[in-house]
Amino acid sequence: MQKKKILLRREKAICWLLLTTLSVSCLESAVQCLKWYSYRWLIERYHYCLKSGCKIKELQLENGERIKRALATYAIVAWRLLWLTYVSVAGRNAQARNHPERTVDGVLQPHEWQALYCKIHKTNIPSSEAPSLGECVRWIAQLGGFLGRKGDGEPGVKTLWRGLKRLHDIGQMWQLMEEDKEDWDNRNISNRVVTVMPSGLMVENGQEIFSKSYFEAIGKLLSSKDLDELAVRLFAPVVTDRRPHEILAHAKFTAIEGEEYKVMFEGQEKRRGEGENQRAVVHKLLEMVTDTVELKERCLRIEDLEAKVKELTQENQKLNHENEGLIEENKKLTSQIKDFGKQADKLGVLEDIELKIERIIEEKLSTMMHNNKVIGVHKAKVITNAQSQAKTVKADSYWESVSSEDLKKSKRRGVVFEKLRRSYLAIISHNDHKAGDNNGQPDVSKMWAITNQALRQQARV
Amino acid sequence: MPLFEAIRQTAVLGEINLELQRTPRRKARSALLSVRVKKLWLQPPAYLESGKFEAIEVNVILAEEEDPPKA
Repeated sequence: MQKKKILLRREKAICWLLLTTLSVSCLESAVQCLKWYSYRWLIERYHYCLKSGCKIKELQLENGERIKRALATYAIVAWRLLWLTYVSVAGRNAQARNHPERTVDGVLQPHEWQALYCKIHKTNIPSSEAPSLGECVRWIAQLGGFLGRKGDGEPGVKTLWRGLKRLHDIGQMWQLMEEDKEDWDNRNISNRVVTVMPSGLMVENGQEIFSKSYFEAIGKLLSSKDLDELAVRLFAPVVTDRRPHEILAHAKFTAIEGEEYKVMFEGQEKRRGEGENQRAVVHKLLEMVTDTVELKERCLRIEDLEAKVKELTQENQKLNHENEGLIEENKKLTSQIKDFGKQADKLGVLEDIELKIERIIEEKLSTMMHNNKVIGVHKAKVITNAQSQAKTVKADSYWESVSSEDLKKSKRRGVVFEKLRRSYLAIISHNDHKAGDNNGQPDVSKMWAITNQALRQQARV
Repeated sequence: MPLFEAIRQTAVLGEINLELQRTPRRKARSALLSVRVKKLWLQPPAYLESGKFEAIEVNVILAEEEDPPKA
């Protein structure tokens, strides 16, 4: 138990057991084998380069010999890439040959590192000395998308792979452009007198500069070393069709004493007969000027239009505001109208009710009046019939217009009561008018009556 | 005889120093390895017919840290 604890406290011991068919006779050869074993991750990366980078699995070379040749080529490609990746890292594989500070000469072709330098520094004048290998590796990685931030570490295989791919293209283009440089240098070294006409463009303070004063000034400029450059920048482009910095590098102007409008030009210029001459350049400039004038006018018009548009938009906004206000008012009004409508509905209902009540009252009154009338008429004569009379009055007015003949046939509801009513009426009128003696006094013996026997028969009892 | 036992019985041929990089489980350190070398024969498995397969001759290298430092 104690032993185990002690063991636990110790670091895990390194223990490598290697089996090999290589002959191991002495310590040196054993150490060599161990060293190779320590490269196992590097070997892994190498296979990664071959498989994922070079995509040797996707080759469709049906024949062993071809695959061998392809592998021989790709092995070099993969080795170079891997070497570039690990060369810049001093500590990654403590090797004597990892010297990122060494020059890139011998690793990249001159045109390659020149193209790389110019691409990274956004210039077209390469540095005179080859940069260091470490720098170059970083730049290649930049081409491959490496950002080089604080925590990014060193660029990996894949980034460098991408960068190298781009560098090859850029380098090729650089080489193409560079190819005839020597040729160009040789052919274009000239030594001739150039005539500079003081054209309308050479104006100072609105006044045309004339030959003597102009060239005095230019001569002064040309005689001074720094101002020489300035003067060259000023008018050399017009004369030679070259860009100022090119002229700075390759040309020199000197005033010729005793000669007006003459300047000695030394250096390379564009091949004669190519490109535009001075007049064409001036013409172009003038065209540009007219163009700019037109452009300015157009700009002014555009400004005017924009101002108008602004005004209109403002007005539009105002109108919109008003419109919104109106809409709100409209809403309010509609809501009020709704309220009114509700009230009006209520009022209508009330009116209806009132009307109904009035009608009912009227009806009641009329019936009462009628009843009173009937009662009034019959009071004096037969009081006992008053009630039945009153009841019958209430009956449907429909029957008033129906004759006795029709009544017999009718099957309308309430016909029985009408029949009864009419027979009662007949009895009443008989009793009132006919059942009397000669003196007009009612005679009971002549009166009709519904006897008990008749009622029983009716009720079928 | 098991491989490890067999190789451990031989004498130490020499010692080498190995620089170890930092890993998530270990700090960077330098390890002193003792190297043993011996020619051994790997026997064919017992369940296979004897005589059909021959023992394979291999050179065995064992690099072992004798005295790992305390954690």
